[in-house]
Amino acid sequence: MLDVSLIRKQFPIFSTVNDAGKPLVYLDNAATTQKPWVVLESLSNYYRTLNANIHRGIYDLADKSTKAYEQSRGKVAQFLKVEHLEEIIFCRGTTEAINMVAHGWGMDHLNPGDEVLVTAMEHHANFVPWQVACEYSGAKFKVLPLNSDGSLNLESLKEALTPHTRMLAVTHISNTLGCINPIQEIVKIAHNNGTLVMVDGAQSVSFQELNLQDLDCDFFAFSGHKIFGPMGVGVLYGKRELLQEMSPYQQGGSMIYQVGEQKTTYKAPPHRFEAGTPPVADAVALGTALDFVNGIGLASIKDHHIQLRNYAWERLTTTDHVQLLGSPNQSAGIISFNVENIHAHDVATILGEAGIAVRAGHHCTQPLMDHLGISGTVRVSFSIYNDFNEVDQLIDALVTTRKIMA
Amino acid sequence: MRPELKALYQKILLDRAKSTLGFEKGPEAQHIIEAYNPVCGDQFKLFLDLDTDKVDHASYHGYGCAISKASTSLLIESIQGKNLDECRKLIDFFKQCMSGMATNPGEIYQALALSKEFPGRQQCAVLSWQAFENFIDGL
Ligand SMILES: Cc1ncc(COP(=O)(O)O)c(C=O)c1O
Repeated sequence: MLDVSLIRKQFPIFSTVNDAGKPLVYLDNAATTQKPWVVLESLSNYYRTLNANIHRGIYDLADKSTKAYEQSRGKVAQFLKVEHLEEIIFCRGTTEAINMVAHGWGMDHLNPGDEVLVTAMEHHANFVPWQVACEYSGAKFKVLPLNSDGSLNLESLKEALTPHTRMLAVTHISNTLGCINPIQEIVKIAHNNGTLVMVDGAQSVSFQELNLQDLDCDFFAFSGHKIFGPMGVGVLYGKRELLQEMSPYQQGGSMIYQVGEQKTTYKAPPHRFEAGTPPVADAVALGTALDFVNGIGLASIKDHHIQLRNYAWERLTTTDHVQLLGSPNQSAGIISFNVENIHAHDVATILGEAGIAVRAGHHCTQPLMDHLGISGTVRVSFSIYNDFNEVDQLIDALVTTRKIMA
Repeated sequence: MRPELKALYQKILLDRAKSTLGFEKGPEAQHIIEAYNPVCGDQFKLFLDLDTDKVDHASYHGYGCAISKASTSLLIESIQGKNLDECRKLIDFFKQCMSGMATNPGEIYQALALSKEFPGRQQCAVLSWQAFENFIDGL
């Protein structure tokens, strides 16, 4: 296990209390992670010492600002083990990254008769943009059914791919059930079929070491705020040859090559996809967040998540009237469950009073809820600052919940 | 825990949430009103038969938390047999209760009003009432 007390000291939020005076037990890390001092300082430092618009000014400060921004791009590339810097595009987050592909790539490459396949466990961010791209283009939108426990079935995947499937959109880790999809294998299957793969990495970046060259996926998206970075910045990775021929879905400053009265040409990637003033400070602070993660080490982080998850799974299994969803195998630090006859929102409100922050509802995965035949779940998701004691507090609060709602 | 929590989830509200009174599908009803909360996915259908301007029969079905269920059940029971004017007055009264302005709110309304003390939960209390109000306004 990581030294949690040492780590917690690096996160100012843990010195706060809730309205009921309880210290924070933060188990909603799949929604967003807390921010360490170094990231906050990086943000403030940028505005205090580097603030200038990038790629425009020819004075010293603008040059430094541009360098800091581009240096952060380099950190992301290293973090994802990506070969070419221009394969890393800064954007607002996972949602925008996927929209960029669904619309930018979809606009040119989807036609009537084509198919896009998404899995039934996708976050709405990797579902709705494809649904809409299909509506616009006349392509067919297909949803891959799951096993009864909500996990992906590779045999069904093989069957669902047809000669017309242009794109497969799949999440690396389910934000609701925590199941980890074997992306490398999935990509092989898809590529054998001539299908590109868009991977939603929102939940995997902060869980395990990634090597996009090994995964060989065509596009990959993640959000900075889920890996201790600021909200409002994220990354799209795309293979160089795909980005080179992809249309930008936003136009404006910074991304143009030449603007004529009737016709405009665009810069090469990555700048083609970064229209307007980007969130420079946030991008720089994201680089700091990645340094922070590297400092701890993803191998230890993954081990920490798994130990917490296993402990919580075991304790929840032996707690009366708790029904766990998903399966304990091949899973990240995310667990969904329900308490018999008590709505997830009521559970979350009572846990909230005890200072325990969890998420309740459909977690932006309504197709998955439909598949499982439920309306919502209570979700706990772990991070580096959580410990076994917090799991015990969760269990105690669930017992209290039963008493209050009896 | 603050006393507000126990006061919110008090017996009268929990009993109401568990009550099956008026909990009945009415696919043949004259009017089917959707009360849906996109944040949590809670969803009720209100089934109404109107006799000119009087609620002849009302029932509801769907799923939601204890607060939204209790509140919907209360709505359905309260509008039974009322004319639209009386329904409007009832909605006004409900709103006053929710904002703590009513002089004599009654226990269950008071419990529901406490939902505003808890992040994101007031929407659960007003969900079906809002849908019903929109329906009446649109008549
Ligand atoms: C799997 C998954 N995909 C996409 C998203 C959307 O991320 P964002 O809201 O940062 O764009 C999330 C987070 O909510 C997620 O968990």
